Parts: sequence; C-alpha cells; structure tokens
Amino acid sequence: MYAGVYLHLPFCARRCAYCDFCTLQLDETSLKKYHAALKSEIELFSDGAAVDTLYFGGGSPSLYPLDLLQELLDTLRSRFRFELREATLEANPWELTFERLERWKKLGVNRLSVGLQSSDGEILKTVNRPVPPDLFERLEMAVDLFDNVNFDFILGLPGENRKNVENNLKLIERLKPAHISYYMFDSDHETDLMASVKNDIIELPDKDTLEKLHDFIVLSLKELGLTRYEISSWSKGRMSLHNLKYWKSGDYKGFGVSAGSHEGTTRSVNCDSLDQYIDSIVAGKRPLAYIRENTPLEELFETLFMGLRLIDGLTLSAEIFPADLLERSVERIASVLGEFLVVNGYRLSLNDYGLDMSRLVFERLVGIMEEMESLLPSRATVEKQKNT
Amino acid sequence: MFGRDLIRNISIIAHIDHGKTTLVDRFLDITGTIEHRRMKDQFMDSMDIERERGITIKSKPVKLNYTARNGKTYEINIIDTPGHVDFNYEVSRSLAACEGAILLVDASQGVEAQTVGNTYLAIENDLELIPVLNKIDIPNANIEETLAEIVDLIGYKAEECLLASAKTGEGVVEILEAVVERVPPPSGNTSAPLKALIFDAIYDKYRGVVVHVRVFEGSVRAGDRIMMMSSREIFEVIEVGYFLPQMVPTDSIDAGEVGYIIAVIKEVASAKIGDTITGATSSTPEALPGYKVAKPMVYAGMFPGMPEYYEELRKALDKFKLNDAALVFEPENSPALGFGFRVGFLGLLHMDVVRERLEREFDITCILTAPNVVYRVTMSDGTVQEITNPASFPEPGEFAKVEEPFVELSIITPSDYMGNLIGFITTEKRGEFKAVENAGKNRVVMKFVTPLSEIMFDFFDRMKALSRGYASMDYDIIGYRESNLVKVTILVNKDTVDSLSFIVHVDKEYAVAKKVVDKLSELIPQHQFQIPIQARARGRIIARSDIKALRKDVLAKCYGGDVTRKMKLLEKQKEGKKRMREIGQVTIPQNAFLAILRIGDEE
Repeated sequence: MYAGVYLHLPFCARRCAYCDFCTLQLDETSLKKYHAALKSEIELFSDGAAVDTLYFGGGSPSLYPLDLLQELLDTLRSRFRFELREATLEANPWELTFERLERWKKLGVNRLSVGLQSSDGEILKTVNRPVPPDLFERLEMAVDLFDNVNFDFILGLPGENRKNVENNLKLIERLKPAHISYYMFDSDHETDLMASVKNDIIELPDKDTLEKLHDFIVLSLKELGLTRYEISSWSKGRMSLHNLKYWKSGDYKGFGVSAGSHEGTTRSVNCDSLDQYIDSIVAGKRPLAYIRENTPLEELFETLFMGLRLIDGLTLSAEIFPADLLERSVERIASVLGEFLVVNGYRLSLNDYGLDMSRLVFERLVGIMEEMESLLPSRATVEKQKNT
Repeated sequence: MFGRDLIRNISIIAHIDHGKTTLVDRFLDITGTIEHRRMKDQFMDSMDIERERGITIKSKPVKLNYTARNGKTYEINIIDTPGHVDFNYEVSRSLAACEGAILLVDASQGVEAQTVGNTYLAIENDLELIPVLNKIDIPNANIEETLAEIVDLIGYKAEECLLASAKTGEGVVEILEAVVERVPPPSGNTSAPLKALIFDAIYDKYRGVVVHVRVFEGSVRAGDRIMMMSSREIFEVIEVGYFLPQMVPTDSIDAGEVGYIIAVIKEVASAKIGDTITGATSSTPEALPGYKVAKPMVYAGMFPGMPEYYEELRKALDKFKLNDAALVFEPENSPALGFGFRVGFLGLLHMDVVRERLEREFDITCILTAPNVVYRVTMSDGTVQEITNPASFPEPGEFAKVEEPFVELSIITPSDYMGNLIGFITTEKRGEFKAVENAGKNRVVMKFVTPLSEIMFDFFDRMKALSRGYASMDYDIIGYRESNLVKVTILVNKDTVDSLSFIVHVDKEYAVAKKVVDKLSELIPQHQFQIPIQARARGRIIARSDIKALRKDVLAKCYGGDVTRKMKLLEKQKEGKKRMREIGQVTIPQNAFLAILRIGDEE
C-alpha cells in the first residue's frame, strides 16, 4: 500500500474573505523560518514509506519560491520511497506564468489545482480575491502545459446568479480541464465574509436560487462529459488520486502547520500557530495539536464519513472492523438514514436524495456515532501522550 | 460610633445611564472609602450582568465617612437603587430607609419620565431632595433647558439645583456638602427598644441569610436576640456591621444607621423585606409601615432545554429565589414542551435577567415562552379565575367577561414628536390620550391610559424610533378593566402547539396572527417536508404561512486533515439543537417561542 504526502504552505499575498484555512501573510523572515522548520519536520518525522501521491496545499503554494520548493522535494525524496503517480500543486491565477509553469513541470509537478472560485471579477473583488485581467490566457496556458488540471469553484459567494454560473460553465467548456471541484459555500465558519454578512454589509444569495443553481451545475457538468465521483468533484477519467486517499481512509502523512495525518488507525493534526510549530520543531518534538488512536467505532464512522462522499460509496471490510460492531452500526444507520442510502450488505452509498441532503446525513451520522459510543461500557479512546 | 446628628441616610434617584453608579464611585474615591487601585469601575454594580448591561438590579448600601468643610466628619449611608421600571419596588424600599435623596439628571438627556415617578415617591416619603445636573462636561449638555424641566416637572427652583460631572469629579464635593447641610440627620432614640426596617435580605453561600437594615430606634449588637415582628420568629444575632461597601463587622448599629445583621436565619423567607425587627425581650409596640410586596406583572413558561433537566431547573429556580424574592414559579405541564414552570416576573427586563443568570450561574439552558399579563376572567357561572397561561384561557361562550391590567402611562418627549406618539399609542396600542403639560421650553409630558400588555410588546423600540430616541416612559398599574380579548392558537404542521398560544384584542386578531405566523415561518428551520403554520381563533383558521420543504442541504468541502474538525463542527451544530424541541415531526427552536416579541423587528 502506498501512502500520500501532504505539505501545507500557508503563505498568501492576501487573505480571501471566505477563507477559513490556516494562512499567513507572505514575508521574507517568516517564510525562511517556516521553510527551515518544514524541512526539519520531514527529516525528523518520516518513516521511509512508499509514497505515490504528493500534494502541495495552502495557503498559496504557487507563491512559494521555486528553489525552496526544489529543496522540499529533495528532502522528501531523501526520506521517503518516492514512486509518484501524482504530484499536485495548488495555484492562484496570478502565478500562472509561463516560467513558473515550466519550472513546476521540471520539478515533477504533474497536476495543477487552480483556485478560480468564480470567473466573475465582481464576485471575486467582493471576497478580496481580485483576478488578473488576462485570466483566460493564463488558464489556457496552464491547460496547454499540464494535461491534468483542476479548477476549483465555490457556489454561493455574494453576488452569485445564473448568469455568472453560466459563465463558469462556459469557461469549463472552452478550456476542458480534466477535473472540476465545485464546492458549496460554507457559511459555518467564522470568516471575514461571515462577519460582514452578520453586520448586514454583504448579503449571501438566497437558498432557493442556490438550490436551483446546484441542480443546473450538476446537469451541465454531466453534459460536458465530466463524471461526478464525489459530492463536489467531477472528472474526465482523472480522479484526484491524492484526495481518493482521504476519501478511502488510506494512509497519508501531512507536514506543516495544521496538516493532518492518518496512519493505520492513528489520526493526528499539527498545530495552527506558526510560532508554536517552529518552537516544537526546534525542540525536536512533533508539532501536534493532537494525536489519537481511533477506537474501532471511531475508525468505522470516520471511514463512513469520508467514504460516503464518494458517489460509489464504500464497502466496510469485515477484515478491518469487528463483526458485531459492523453489524450493529450498519443496522442502525440503515434504519435511521434509510431514505438517503443504498445499503447492500456492508456496501453503502448515498442515493440521489442523500447527495442533495448530505449535510443532514452527515450530521445524523455523527449523532448515531455518539449514541453508539454512549452504549459502550467505556469510551475507550486512547489519548496518546502529546509529542511522543 | 457617630453622634446621630453626624449621620445622613440618602438614596440616589436617576434614570438608567444618567450616571448614578459613576457618582457613587466618585464619592468612594473622594472619601477614600476604597483605595483607588482596588477600585473597579462601577463598584456598586457587582453582578457581572449588571456591569455588562450598565444597569443596577439590586439595591446596595454603602457607608462613607466624609469630612465636611465645617471640619466635622459625617457618616453618609447611600442606598443605591435600580433605575429600571421593572425594579421599581426596590426603589420604594430604599426610600423608606432614608431622610434624603439626590435626584440625578443627565444634562444632555433631560428629565426622564421614570425619574419624575421616583421623585414623587420620594416626596411622598417626606424626603429632602437635592436635584443635581450630571454630565455637564459633555458637549451636548443643555443645562438651561434641563433646569427648566426640573422646575416644571418637579417644582424645584433653579437655584436649588447643583451642577456636576461625576466623570470628571467637578461639583461632586458640593453634592456631599449639600447632603450634609440640607438632609436632616435621622431622629430616633438609641436607648428605646430596637426598631429596624429590613430593606433587603440576601442569601450568602457561606454566611447564610444577610439582612440589610435601617435602624430607626434602639441598637443591635452580636449576641442580641431579635424578633421578626410579622412572624414573631426569634433569632440570635451573630454579627452586625456596615457596608464599606464590602461588609465590615462592628460592635453595634444604632438608631439612624444602616447596616447588616447576620443571625442564625436559615431561609430568606424568614427575613421578609419590609418587616420590622425588634428585640426579643424588650419589644417596640408598633411595627414600621413596611412596603407592598412586589407582584409579578408578567408570566412566561420556562422549560429545560432538554426534558431530562427538569429537576436541575427546579433546583436552580429554588436557589435563585433565595436572592430574588420577586420571582414566583409553579410547575407547568405543557403538551408541547413537557414539564416545566410557569414563572412570574416583574417585567421583561427582569425576565431577561433571570434567564441569563440561570444560564450563567447554574449552567442551565432553558426555553422561555412568550410572556403575558395576568388576565382576570369571570366565567359564565360567575366564578372568577386569574389566568397566567394563555393555553388555559377559556373558549368563547365559557366566560362572561375578561379583564386585563391597565396602566397610566407617562411619556416625556420633545414636543416635535408629540403627534407621532399620540397617533401610535391611540391607534395601534389601544391607548386613551388623557392630558399633556409643558416640561421646560421644548418638551411635554403626556398621559395615557393603556393596557399593560400593549406596552410590553413592540412598544419601547417603536416609541424610541418615533421620537428619534428622545422620548422616555414610565407607568403605574391602575387596575383591571374589561377588554374584548380572544385566544389565538398556533398549529404547526396541523398540530396545536399550546406554548405558542397568545391572547389578543379582537380588533388586532387578524393582523397580529398574520405577523406571528410569518415570523414563525422565518424562525422555524426548513424540514424535508413543507410545514404549514396556522393561526386559529374562535374555531376558524385566521392566518397561514408555509415553510417550504428543504430540497437541498449539501455538505461543504472537507479536506483530509480536517475530518475531525468537520465532525466536531457537525456535532456542534447538532448540539445547538438542544434548545430546540421536537413537536410532532417538527423541530422548533427556542426563539420561535418568543416570536410574538419579535414581530416588530424588521419594521
């Protein structure tokens, strides 16, 4: 089994109003310090596993100096057995220049994930993410040089309407990227944008409009020959191999602030604070926010939580989970969430209704997990010592 | 400790925000009662909630030693009083313990209606009043006009008024001088049998019941045996002391003084506010007049956030009552919300404060239903019932007449807004216009008679909006009057939800019902099916609004690293639903039960 590696490069030129990820203003000093710490983390805490997918996420990895990117790759190669099938780099339109594209290719990047979010200049200005005037040309160049490109879109930013969704789809039709991620805007986080919404400075599009637009997008992407294989992902024969590791609860190792790892049944997440991260590394400790050995119940529900995002769903393996737990869980889930699911033995997937109501389904899934947890004799969570 | 002629007992009458608490802080500062570095701003408001909201809820006494310009040192006892109409009864208690009062008026705001009401209370109590214009340092202070208002509304001469800024300290010493000169010292004979007025009693976790008293005659010391005159219960005194403002023990409190008594009293109920304390062996023949018991004006249902926390809620209310005699409650069983309580409050602010303190101090989430006044219903057979819960309001045909509480409403406003306000109160609020008088050059005081229920909902904010924030109000209950009222029942998804019922005047039945169902359809979240919200009165459906079915609820992005975070977030959202109740198949959030209070929100 191959593992995946994720590197978090948190630096951005500016912070988008909807962003809830761990990002930092780009400046020379913190970049240097972070880079050194990140290299050390890889050197100190790698296990030499065989790796076939690599993902540079952020932040804005496309802003990361190319020579430093080269160093990170060299460090990774020295610590892991690299047999890369996919190496993705998240990129902003502003950095899509011929020189950079060429250099990334030379470094071994073979997939670009472009954060478009919308093709509408006004919408992007509202969320503090202005686009270059020659956006189309830049995207065209990216698609020409890379045969595996993803465009990220968000549905439901302020100002969203049928017209600009149609424009997004036209852009997809003309440029034919291999992969599309079309996410619903997430209003659950405390972001700058949500603060403006709360203070009545900015209005979000109404639910009714969004419901109709979502249907329209699903239908149109299908007509464009893109297959929906996950709640918010579509592809033309090129699914994201790295993301599939998340959805299939495979092994992956994350480096950098806020990066998460899943190894066997152990889940861990690095801390969010840059200072804390650097201090830990300097002291030779893993910069963890937490690490936890999942109980079979937790592992089962996390597997479901991720796996049900895939259109094909998942099969819960009787080799991995205890038979009685498997039986009780699936029985309970089928009885509570029956209307949203196709259940066939231990194979589960969302039906069309379940896909439309996924937030509700997952919320109830968490409820069922808690309910089953409370029936166990004791919560057998093993809290491993921090910084082991 | 002090000769009686060196004692002054005063309270301070002021509207919310007119600077009373700041003035007391300045007094403490000037007299060195508490050291500067130990002073928190607004020392007197000791509850967190008081400090946050800038309101005073409980009366609190403090003792100052002030060395006057004549060289003598005086003991000044100040009993701080709440400014909000809900807590009016606390004001009358404090006044009965004093010989004088400072009437504090914000020079930029002018005299507010409630200040006038409280001033008359003080005059009835024979108190010497010292009018003070506060905040004279701020740019929009209008000293001349405010003085004119004091002259018109309260009948004082402009020369009798002092000018001050509690914030900068300007004129504050003059106030203390005036207290010493103008307020008479307490009378009363120290060697007579003990006669002390209980003006407050609080329950302290560690020390039991602490009784706040003003001694009128005699004296009291540790070891004395005292008797409550109303119950003739006898207790032994453990400690007596003063408020500096923290409690400081002393040998005795004598006639004319204010202080506290700690005796072996187990329940606050044994120390009734307004009762007279006397000696167990040598008793005074006659009790002090005392006060009226604070009577709850509004009732609301209070239910635990989750049904299984009923017992916890009961315990919390029991404990709460130890320090809030005005709170009354009895068990209520609602078909929709299960077991809970019908709780009586002094007003909406009191309700808010109780709820918030329950949540903070007892960590209990509760669901409140819309408050209502107490209706008096004469049934067809001639029996009379007091209805505190709209759900038990009888159907038409079962009763002969209904009466509801009415108030005399005073509104002080710049005369420009008179027309707006009269129109609003007489056409929308069933008010009857009674009189208008000038108050200073540009303002008037208007009197109305109106049902209490009309000024409880959707009134204050509208009044403020119609007067650009300048109008102020006060009211007095004047008794029950007959009204043509009807019960409106709400059906959610065709099921009657008793806790959403309300009583309304027949003339407004359709309009209010429509607003309530519209508001409910905003507040109740979408479900997977369409939900009709209907209002029914006298057997007919009079309004309807539908909540559309939720067609889509798509989960947002979820990165590998944050699966735990995503699950936590969903858990939290689920947790937020704790304050919701499943009724039939519909989940109703807490704020929907208060929908009627919010129907004016967007206007």
